[in-house]
Amino acid sequence: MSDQEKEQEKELTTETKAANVMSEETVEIKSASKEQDVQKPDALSQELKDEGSVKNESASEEQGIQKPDAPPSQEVTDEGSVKNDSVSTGVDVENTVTKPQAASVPPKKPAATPRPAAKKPVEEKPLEPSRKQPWLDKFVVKLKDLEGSEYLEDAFINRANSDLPTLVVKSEWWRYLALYLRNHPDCQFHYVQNFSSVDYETHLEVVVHLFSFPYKERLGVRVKVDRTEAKVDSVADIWAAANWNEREAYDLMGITFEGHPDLRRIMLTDQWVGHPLRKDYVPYDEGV
Amino acid sequence: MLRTEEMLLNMGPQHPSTHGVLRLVIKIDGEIIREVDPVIGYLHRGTEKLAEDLTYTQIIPYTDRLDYVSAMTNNYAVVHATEKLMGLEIPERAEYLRMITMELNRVASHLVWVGTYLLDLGAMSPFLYCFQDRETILNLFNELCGARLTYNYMRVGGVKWDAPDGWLQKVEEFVLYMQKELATYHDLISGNDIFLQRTRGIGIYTKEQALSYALSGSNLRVTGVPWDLRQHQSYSLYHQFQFEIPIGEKGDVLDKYHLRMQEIAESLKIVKQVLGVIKEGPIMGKVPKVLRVPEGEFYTGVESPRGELGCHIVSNGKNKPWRLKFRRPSFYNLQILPDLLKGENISNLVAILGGIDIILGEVDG
Amino acid sequence: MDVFFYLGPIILMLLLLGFVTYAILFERKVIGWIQNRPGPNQVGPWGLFQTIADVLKLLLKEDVVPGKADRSLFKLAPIIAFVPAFAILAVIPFTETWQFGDFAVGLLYYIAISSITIIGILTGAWASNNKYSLLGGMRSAAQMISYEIPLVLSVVGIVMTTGSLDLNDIVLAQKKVWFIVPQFLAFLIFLIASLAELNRTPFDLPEAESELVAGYHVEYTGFRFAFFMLAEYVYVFAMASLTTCLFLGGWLPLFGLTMIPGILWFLLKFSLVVFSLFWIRATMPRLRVDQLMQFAWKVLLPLSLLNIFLTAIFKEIPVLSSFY
Repeated sequence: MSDQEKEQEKELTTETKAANVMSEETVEIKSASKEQDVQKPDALSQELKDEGSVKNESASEEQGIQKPDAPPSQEVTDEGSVKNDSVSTGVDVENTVTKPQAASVPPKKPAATPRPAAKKPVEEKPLEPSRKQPWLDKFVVKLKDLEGSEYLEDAFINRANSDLPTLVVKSEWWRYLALYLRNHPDCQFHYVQNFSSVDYETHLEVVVHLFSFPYKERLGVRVKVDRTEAKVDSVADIWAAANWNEREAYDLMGITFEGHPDLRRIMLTDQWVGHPLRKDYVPYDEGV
Repeated sequence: MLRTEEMLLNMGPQHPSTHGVLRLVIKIDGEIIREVDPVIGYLHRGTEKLAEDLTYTQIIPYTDRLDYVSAMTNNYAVVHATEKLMGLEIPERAEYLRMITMELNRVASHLVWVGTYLLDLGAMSPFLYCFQDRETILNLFNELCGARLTYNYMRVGGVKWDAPDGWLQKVEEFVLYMQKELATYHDLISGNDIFLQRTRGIGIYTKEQALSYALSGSNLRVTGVPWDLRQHQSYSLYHQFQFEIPIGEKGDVLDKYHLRMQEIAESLKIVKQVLGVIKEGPIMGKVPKVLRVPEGEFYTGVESPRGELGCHIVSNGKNKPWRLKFRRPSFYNLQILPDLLKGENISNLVAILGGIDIILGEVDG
Repeated sequence: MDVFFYLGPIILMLLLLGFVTYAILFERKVIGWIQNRPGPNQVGPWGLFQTIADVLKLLLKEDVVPGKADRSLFKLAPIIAFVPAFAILAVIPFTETWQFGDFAVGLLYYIAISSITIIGILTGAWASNNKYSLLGGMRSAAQMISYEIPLVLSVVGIVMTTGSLDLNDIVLAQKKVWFIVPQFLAFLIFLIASLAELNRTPFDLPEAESELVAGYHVEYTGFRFAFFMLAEYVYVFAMASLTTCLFLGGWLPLFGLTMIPGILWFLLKFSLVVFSLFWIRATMPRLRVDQLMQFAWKVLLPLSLLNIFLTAIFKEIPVLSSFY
């Protein structure tokens, strides 16, 4: 993020911090989720909802900023297809063509943190922050105030992917974040668009693309998972769609989802050795 | 009270109405289903793993084999994602040809559904009527790209073949014919009392359930959510054309039938509009010889006949994807099945499973 | 007479096999036409030898008895299913003279004997030791027993009118007007119930292909399977004959066209009934089990009772009583 943006963000942070009534309840939620109390989500959602109603004023103000009057269909368009707003097609396409690394994490370079990703284009075109930036900032601001926000490793706009706001979190925080995103009235990400997993050789990532029907907004979440001890909390009880997807990720990528109701191989046979989508996978053949 | 014993019934992977190689392990009490455990993976070919060793152009034929009933949309999903990551410009004619083929493919796919669904319910004739009309579409595709099911038609940057002489004319004739033919289908099926009895009030789920299970396509729209990626995340040139998103009211299988029939009509409408504006021109944009996709991560979904067909590409700047993941709508849609089947009887199992409209090639990836 | 006594059934059996052979071809052709396709047309001219080829193939197939099956019952079942199907043909009057057993309770005999087949089906289903076939057999038993009742009750009206259970008498009673006119309600009930008795679409639940794969005969192969199929088609033959006798005036000519022999009239009407069976098969989806039962008990049974009641009343009304 550019300095300018950081400043912007800081401002926002300070502004909203005052209004943010992060009650002790939230802390409790945090600890509860850390203990992987699976049966909690309903209660949690209720609490989160209550909390949301307290902050309704500030939320609606922010909404005013992040939600232009344009119909939602245009907001969520793939870039280049419908481009009738101020950002002309030419500029945007050029953007993606010439600065590809702007896109996101360079997968092959583990040393480079994902953070610098969004930097370059913003530096060169400081006047054009992504139209999704306010929406992302809103999250970041809110999430930063939550306890355990140190787990939020990064938040950036994936410009190559139609300005997709993306969060990067550590695996410990994923379940809590998922509950927050699913249930908080300002998020309401009820819909899992895509549930994927990637092997970056240094670490694994669970990549989830969420969609919020009330706000017609997309959000990408990347959960960093340790490669040797690939464990992450299951979110199958939060999104029913995650159930089979987690089984698939377990089967093919070897990520163990703790608390999953039925974690078995789904595509391959139960006797299969190894997880094929890992980059170091070697087919096991008894005959050889 | 009579003590009854539960019986474990193994339905599939070889069974006439599991639409391929789906296996359902069912606990039944008499004919009442107590529990269902779908077992999948019999058609898993590891497309995602294979794709990691293939160049982007080489991946395209593999996508044909995912949802083999609407291969055009699959082609498009991966081609579209690659183009977006590379920021390529696609010539207009290519986009129009893509839209025509995709929409025709949607019509063909829904026809297969209507036919096989009625076959599941025990009616034989509609199956053949549907397949006859579908045959016309397949013949059109055959003329266009030399294949009837696995087209391998689209390329990064455009399409492989231009429409042969008179092809567009034939498409137009078909559209006009099919629009009339739809009325015949309604005469034949929509009013049939047994059909109505078999489908009305069957397999209902709520909007919340649908969203939680991330259902998409007609399975989601049937609960009253007007969600169609062609309009809401407008890709290709769909925004230029007028079409409606039919939604359901009650969410039962009968609604799904009507909805898919309407979708056929809407697709025909789109094809007709495209035929009105398509002009001569190049069919391939400027594409480098070796497709090197810049580093980055990209997810995009397109509206396949079965729902949101997504393509998640992680590229490391080489000519092969680091990771390619398909969001396969049938896979997501099938998940809700155990929930829907509890307490139903076996005849309803067939009606509900058929209503979901799964293609096993896609479920298993 | 003696010669006919012994040869007659054999001739009938051969005729029957001929009928089954060509009924299957006819069915496939009819359904083919309904579905816009030619139907079988490769084996022989117009596909005439198709069924023969099919039967030959069936006979050449290995006779598989599943390992866990009850062997003796498994082998017995097709016979139990087939024998009654053939036995009931004895009472059908094809013409005034062509009838094997003319006895006073022909109708009762027909209905009583035909119910035995279900034992064969159930035996086969159970003996196969297959879950699908068991489900099919149970469905079959429930369905046949349920539909037997409206079937019988619908005929009661005719019996009341003619005052006889002899099928000859019933045919002759239709000289003035066929029973399809005064007993139209009974005809509809009879037609529907007979479809169910025959396990044909829309009542083909016992062998519902899309649900139970093939139902009660899923484990049968070759010759034994052929026997089940044969029983099914012989029932089509018998049921169509019975319908002709009961409602369409049997061998009696229409419009006083007596120069056409009675057997041709019979065949004509009979073919019409068979055609309508095939026609319905090509048109209808399948009912669900519970709907099927509801339909029998809640719709057909009250209607057939109503029919008896109406017949009794009409018999007393001076103008109408000539028809009843």
